[in-house]
Amino acid sequence: MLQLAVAFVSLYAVLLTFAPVIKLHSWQAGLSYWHWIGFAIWLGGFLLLYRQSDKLAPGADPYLLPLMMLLSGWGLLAVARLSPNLGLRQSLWMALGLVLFLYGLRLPAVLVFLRRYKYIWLVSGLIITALTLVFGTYPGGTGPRLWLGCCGMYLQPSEPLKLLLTIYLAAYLADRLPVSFSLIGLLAPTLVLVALALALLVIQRDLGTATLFILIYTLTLYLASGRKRMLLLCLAALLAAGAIGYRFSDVVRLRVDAWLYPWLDPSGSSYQLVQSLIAVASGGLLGRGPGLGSPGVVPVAVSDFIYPAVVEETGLVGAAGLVLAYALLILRGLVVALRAPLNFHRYLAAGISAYFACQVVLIIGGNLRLLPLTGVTLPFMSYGGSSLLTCIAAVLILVLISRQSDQDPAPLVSVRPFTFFYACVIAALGGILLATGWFGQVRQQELTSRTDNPRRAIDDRYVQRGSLLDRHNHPIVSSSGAPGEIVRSYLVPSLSLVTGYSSPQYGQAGLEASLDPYLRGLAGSPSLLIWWNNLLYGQPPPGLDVRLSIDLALQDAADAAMGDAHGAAVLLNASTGEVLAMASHPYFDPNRLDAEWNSLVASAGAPLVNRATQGLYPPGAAIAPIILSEFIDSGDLPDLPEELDYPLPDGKRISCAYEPADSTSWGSVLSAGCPAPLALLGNRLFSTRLNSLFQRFGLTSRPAIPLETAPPQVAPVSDVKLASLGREGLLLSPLQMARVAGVISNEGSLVSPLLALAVDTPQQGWVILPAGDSAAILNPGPAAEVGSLLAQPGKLYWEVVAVAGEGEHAVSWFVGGSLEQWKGAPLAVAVAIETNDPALARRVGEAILQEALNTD
Amino acid sequence: MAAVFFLIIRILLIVALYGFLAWALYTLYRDLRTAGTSVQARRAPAITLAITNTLEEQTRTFTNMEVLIGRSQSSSFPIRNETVSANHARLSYRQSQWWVEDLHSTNGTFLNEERITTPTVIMNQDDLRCGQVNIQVKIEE
Repeated sequence: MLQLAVAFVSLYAVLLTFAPVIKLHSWQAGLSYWHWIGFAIWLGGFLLLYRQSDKLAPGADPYLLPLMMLLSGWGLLAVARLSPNLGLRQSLWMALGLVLFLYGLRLPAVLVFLRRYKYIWLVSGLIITALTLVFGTYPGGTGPRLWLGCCGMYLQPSEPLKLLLTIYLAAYLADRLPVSFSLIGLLAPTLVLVALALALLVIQRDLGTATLFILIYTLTLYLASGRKRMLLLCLAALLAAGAIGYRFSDVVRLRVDAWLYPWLDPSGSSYQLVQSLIAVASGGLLGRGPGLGSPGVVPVAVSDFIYPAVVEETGLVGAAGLVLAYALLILRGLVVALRAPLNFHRYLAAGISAYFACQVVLIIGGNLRLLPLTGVTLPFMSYGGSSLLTCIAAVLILVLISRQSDQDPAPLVSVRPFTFFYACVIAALGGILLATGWFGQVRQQELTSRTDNPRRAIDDRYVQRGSLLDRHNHPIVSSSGAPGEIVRSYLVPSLSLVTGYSSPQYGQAGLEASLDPYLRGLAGSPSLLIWWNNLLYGQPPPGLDVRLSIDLALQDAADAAMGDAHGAAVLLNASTGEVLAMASHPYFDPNRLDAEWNSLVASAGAPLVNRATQGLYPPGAAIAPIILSEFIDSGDLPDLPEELDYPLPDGKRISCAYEPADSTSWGSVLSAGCPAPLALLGNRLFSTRLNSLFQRFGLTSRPAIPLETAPPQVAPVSDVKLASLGREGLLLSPLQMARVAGVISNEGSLVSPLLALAVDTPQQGWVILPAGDSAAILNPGPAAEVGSLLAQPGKLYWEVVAVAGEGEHAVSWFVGGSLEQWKGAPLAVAVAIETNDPALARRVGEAILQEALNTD
Repeated sequence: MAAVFFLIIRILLIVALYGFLAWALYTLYRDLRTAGTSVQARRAPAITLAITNTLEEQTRTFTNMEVLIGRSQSSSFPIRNETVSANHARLSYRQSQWWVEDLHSTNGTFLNEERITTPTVIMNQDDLRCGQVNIQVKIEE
């Protein structure tokens, strides 16, 4: 057993040394050696202890030392892995503890001494604890003041107090139990002292230790007296204390709420718990490997949350081993108790077993959301000098008791309390393993893919993330740097609202979010590669590049034409739906997100909103192509009205966007966005027909695009004139408008927009991503006719310019597209400018179209 | 390549951990078995009971850990006498001693002519009386 324990801890230490190499995939990485100091202390100390205990404690329980060795070595390395500095401190504490152990083995009659001065022990423990009320400090800055500090050493008196209470109780019960059988008479003196201790702890707000106190007290009583009533009383007392605490104490309420409803506030009060569950989930079956995980992201992983830290790196397999080791330790404690020659020894050993059992179950149960979180330590594993010393002292007492077992065991009333208690412990530990399996296996996917899992952002620093390329393979977003320091650079900030961002702090948005599985290599890579990478490195495979439909030359043209104006412009390939350019101004620079985030969020210009997909504007007379197509399809146009302006019901007059070149031509007046002719056309339609028309042109549905889109706002038509002027509650995004334009330019077919074209997979090269459907909603003839009616003289495109809304909320629209005569790929453009400046909208739209027609 | 070695060491780590635990469990199991057999093999020093004051003399030697004295036929040492209750007294070997214990008999159990109320240690050559029946006790040294 000794050799196996040494082998386990040595292998663990070797793994920790080489972990940086694996994590960075290169031998350039420095090896970490610091934990070997602790390892040397541990190994030397325990080997010495083994030799000595053979001489000084012959016949002592042979399992206690190896178990303590395994657990404390594992704990030491787990702490050193999380924080080399604390690991060093923990090694010193361990050295101190082992010296104490050796000294204790040499002292004669420790147990008699303990028994004789039981009141002195407990009272001095209480006094030291009380001192924290006055001199208490918190080593880590501000927090509960539970420590006594001097010269860089900190002691938490409530840790040894637990052991002192156990000693006192055992001694007291051993003196009294055979004589007095009246419950009240028996308990009264202990109750006073225990209540005093509890009051101290409650004042100190050390509620975890207070709970532990009640549990140890009742379990020791139960094991000594064999009365089950004790357990029921204890349960009732704990529930009552919990209920009272919930009513009157903020700390308790916070803890209980975080336990019952952790998903309500995962970034606030239940942050620790949720992070702990995510850590367990990312461990899975085999763990990510010692030194390869990121358990440090769970707050106070080193002490209270050491269990999830261990599980993340060693998985369910490691967790099962750890829990089994604790089960063995507790079992041996109880066996020592049963074999003890004196009642005092028996009660003491039983109390110590209860102490270990409660502590393990309380803290791991708290970590796994089986119980409310109580801040107690995991014996031998957690960082903390007082806790480690107390645990070593407890094992020392067990060894001392078992050493004297050449006498026959003391008479035992019944073995049932012991078997019943151990059955409960096994059930609790089994529950812990089941919960670990539940979070690590069943809910693994769900938990690890949460956006508040920082491991994803950490992985991005170690594993190359895929690039986003334009249609000619020019990079738009790429990652570069050595593993461990990979940074993401956004080369085209004006596309920031399309590409989005991937930030450790602010999460992901845009294509970075929707294409994340490809960019992270989790989609598109062979599943064997994913599995193998996860097994070897605990990391995802290298990310895959994605080619977008964006044409950087056209994008630049659109951005240049828009200038500083607020608004959006979309250029589509009208036959395939490929988005060639998508400009949304103002935009932001994702490279400086961390510095600018607050001002971006607060900015009145809303630079984080993609106006092309999320902006909703009243279309006004820009919906003329839709209305017009309905008439071309079904018959002739009526005569033009003489008055082109249109009086609204509230008395305001709306007029053309600009003076039409030819006020006698339907095409010319509709191109200029004149309202009266459009209202005349609309007046001839029934409202139901308008409704179905809007539906056919896709105004009521969200465009299928891997970006955030706004929900469409199409109210049922009640006034056909206003509705045909785009003024009746109708709100459209520029992307929707570009699709409408696409119908005219693409022989009557409504296309789905397409942004991601292909993925560069490791095995098959570029693989084309599926495109959306297109639906023929208009006959090719009428569509071409609408286009030629709205055509600009001498140009290869048609257009409609319109102004909608008034004053500050005015929007200038440009909607246009290529004509039938254009032999290249059909194009469709929509521009929305957030001012009353139709000339600007027209300039931008025409510039984009001109550029697209010239380059193609 | 390094990563594969790393994985192999990780597997060895698991083997060491479970080897440790399996070894512990195996030795525990073995302990349990030897403890069981040693309890089975444990023999009390033989105790001989001889009735001295009735017509038919009755002597028996016991080597097991418990002897039940009484009028009932199911007793290990049945006595046919009206002053002896059905289940009168029990002799048992505990803590390296033979103990006698009265089972609430009607006429009482006496050790060296003192009535016993609690379990009492019984020695070689002690006189035991159940009701009116005298029993000479001999315990093998």
